[in-house]
Amino acid sequence: MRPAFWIFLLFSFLGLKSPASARAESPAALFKKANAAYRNGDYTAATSGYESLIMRNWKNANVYYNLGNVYFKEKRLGQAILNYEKARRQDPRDRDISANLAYVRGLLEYRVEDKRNWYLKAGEAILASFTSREIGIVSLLLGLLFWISWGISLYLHPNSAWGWKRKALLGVTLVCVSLWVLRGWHDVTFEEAIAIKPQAAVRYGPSPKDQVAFRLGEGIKVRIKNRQGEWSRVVLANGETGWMNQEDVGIV
Amino acid sequence: MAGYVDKRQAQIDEEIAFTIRIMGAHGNLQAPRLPSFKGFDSFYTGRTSQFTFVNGKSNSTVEFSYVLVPKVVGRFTLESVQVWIDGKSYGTQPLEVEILGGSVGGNVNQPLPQPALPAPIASAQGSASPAQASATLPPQIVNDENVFVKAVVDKQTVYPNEQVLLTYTLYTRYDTRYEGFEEEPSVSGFWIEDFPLDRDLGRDTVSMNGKRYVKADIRKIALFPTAPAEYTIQPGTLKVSVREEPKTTSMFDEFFGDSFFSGSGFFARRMDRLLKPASIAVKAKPFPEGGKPASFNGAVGQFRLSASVDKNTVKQNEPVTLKLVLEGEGNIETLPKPPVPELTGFKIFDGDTSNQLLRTGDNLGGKKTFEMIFIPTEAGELSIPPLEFSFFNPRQQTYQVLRTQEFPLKVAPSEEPFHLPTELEQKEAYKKEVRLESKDIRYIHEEIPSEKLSRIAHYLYGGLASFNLLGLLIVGNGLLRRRREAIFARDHGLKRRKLAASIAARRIKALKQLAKSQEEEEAGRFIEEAEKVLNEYFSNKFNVSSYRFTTEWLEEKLSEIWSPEDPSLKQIREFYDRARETRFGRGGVPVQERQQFLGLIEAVIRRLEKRL
Repeated sequence: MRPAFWIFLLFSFLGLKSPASARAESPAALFKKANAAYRNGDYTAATSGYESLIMRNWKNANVYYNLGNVYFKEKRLGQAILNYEKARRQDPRDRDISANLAYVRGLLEYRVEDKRNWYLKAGEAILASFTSREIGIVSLLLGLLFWISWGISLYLHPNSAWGWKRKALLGVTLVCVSLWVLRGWHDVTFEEAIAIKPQAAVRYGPSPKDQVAFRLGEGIKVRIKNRQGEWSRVVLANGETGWMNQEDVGIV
Repeated sequence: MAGYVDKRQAQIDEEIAFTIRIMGAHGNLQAPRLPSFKGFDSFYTGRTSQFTFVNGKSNSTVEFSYVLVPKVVGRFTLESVQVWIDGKSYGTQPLEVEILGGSVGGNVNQPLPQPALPAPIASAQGSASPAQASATLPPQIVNDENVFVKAVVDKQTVYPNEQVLLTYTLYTRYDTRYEGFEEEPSVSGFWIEDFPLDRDLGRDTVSMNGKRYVKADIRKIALFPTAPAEYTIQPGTLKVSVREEPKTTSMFDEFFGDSFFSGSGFFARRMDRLLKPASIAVKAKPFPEGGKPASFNGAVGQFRLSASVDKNTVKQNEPVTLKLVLEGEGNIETLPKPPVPELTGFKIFDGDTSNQLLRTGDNLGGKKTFEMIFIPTEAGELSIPPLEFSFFNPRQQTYQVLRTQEFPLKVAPSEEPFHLPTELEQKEAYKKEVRLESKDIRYIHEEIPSEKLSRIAHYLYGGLASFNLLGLLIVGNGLLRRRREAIFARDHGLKRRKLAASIAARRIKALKQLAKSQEEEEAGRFIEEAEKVLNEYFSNKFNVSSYRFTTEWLEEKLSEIWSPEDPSLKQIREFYDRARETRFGRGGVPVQERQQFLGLIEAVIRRLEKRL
């Protein structure tokens, strides 16, 4: 008999897990396994694989993107859009994510016309092109350059005046920092969510007794304004507002 | 857009060719209407057009030709001709022309235009003199049996793309001047070509309803219906200027005929009139299905086809240009290129196309040239097969088919790889587009997301944030220092007072070493240094010169701060006494005493720093 068999038997007798199984499966292995399940059309296994990665805080754009693909294959368009949106938050300039998001949105039964001003839409589009961390790193890098430049001038050339280069650096830094602050404020203030249940009821108040104002198709994006118990007050891009059960929406 | 003349100097009645060239415009351009060129008669003579590729861009050029006939001597400026294309106005540049005294026809020099100078075609021709000035009231559409316009078509039932000639004939019993169109005709559904007119308007005298009129054809437009349908042509509105002296008796008719379109009485009163001919119905019937050739592509008229190649012997991948010329009567502009059958052994590309419009009697026609580039990809005996062009002949009511000859080619083998000929290589139009056949989501991302990158970004973020904080502190400190130095620069006493403790602290560090030393010599140095430290501190703190500094002055000063009974005063006095004794060599200072003095100095500085 092979020694491995005896070791397995000993661990079984002692009620212990073998060293191999005791060691948690690595995220990379889990990811590969979920990809293989997707390739084989086993979407249930793929979903649980990607979701377990997310549960283990392995929140990566690729994981969300692949999970979006799995939900699309399962015809759960709301969940697919939700995960593509999450992936885009992590990697805003990935063309595959944008293409799939646009494609799945094109399949939705309902659409909501965005009635906001053009400059709000343009501003949001610019902010959405970068992650908060990217803007932060650029701002901090520019800030550091600015401190170095000013520090050298203060300690080594105390009587020198500010040149155009330092003024320009300050200007660019301030713009970046403003964008960073704006992005942070946007993320905190406008919590985005996706309707994940078909024909979800949006009511006039936070209770099932309140009248239904309208029904929201799966995959429609809303902003959460405030919460009360199990209910969230949502605002649509066209300005319509109402209360939705939190189970009917997924936070991006 | 540009305007050209073939000569800048001419004699009376010598024809000057005036050309308007329009580049880059597409679609059906109508001949521009010339403004009034003072001292000239003008005639539209036709158009030519060309479609070429240059540096990868397609260019279309259309040239409208006119003849200007000078009538008076002098130097003239041909003013800008305005054309509206796609809602934008374009203009030619003004041109200088000098008319010399002689006459090609032997005519004598003519004076400047007199009232009612002949006005054959150009709109608003001739200048208005006081005698013939129109009334200030805006002209109105009038129904006057003494002056009217008839718009007639030569055929009312045609086939698509068959020419319909729309003729405007002016009938008048007044002394009349044609001033041009106030409202252009509305002929939607037709391809339009302005018909070049003769220099002479063909004035004629006719009798209608017992009255004699003088008539003249003032405009002709060739129309080509684009599809089978029933059309209504709105002929527009034209303006004339008349001298209202109708001759009502036949006795004067002969005399009146002489005055038509010519001079008038110097004191005559002239009026502008708008004339609106009745609308016209035209029907375009569908082509007969019987005998329609497969190659028929909508050409209508009567055409001849000729073809030639630039070479018969070539190397593999070397281009051969086939030139096709279609000539005849019909809508030359819209003639389609004869289709080329599927050929193996060749790559085929379109070359340049050019048109030339000509008038034959009452029919428009001309010549259209197509160039096709054949590149043999195989060696051997190849041939360009006959190309077929078919058209419908409305006179004979039959379809006719024309074929080019077959062109045999001897193709020698060559190692030269295929590439687009130089004249074609920039033509993006020849490159096929990649098209999507279906749509679906894109595939999953199989690459394993790098944790390392994420971690690097995390540490970079933290590191940068820390360095920024450090930078902020360093710069803040620098700013504070600069501010303090600026204050110290203004108040030197303040600087001494503020820095007294830090200067003393630095010296006390060295003093501590001396305090621990067991050597006798070091003991002497200690008391000397300690006295210096204390003296320097007090002189800095009270901002006094060391010359002014005495122990009596110090006691008095410290008594003001503390109290005269303060034990520290006594200790300081003892310290100075001991220092004096040591200086004069009376006894050493043991280690324990040195430590006491050190403690005293530190305590005194501490107390004073708290108070002051």
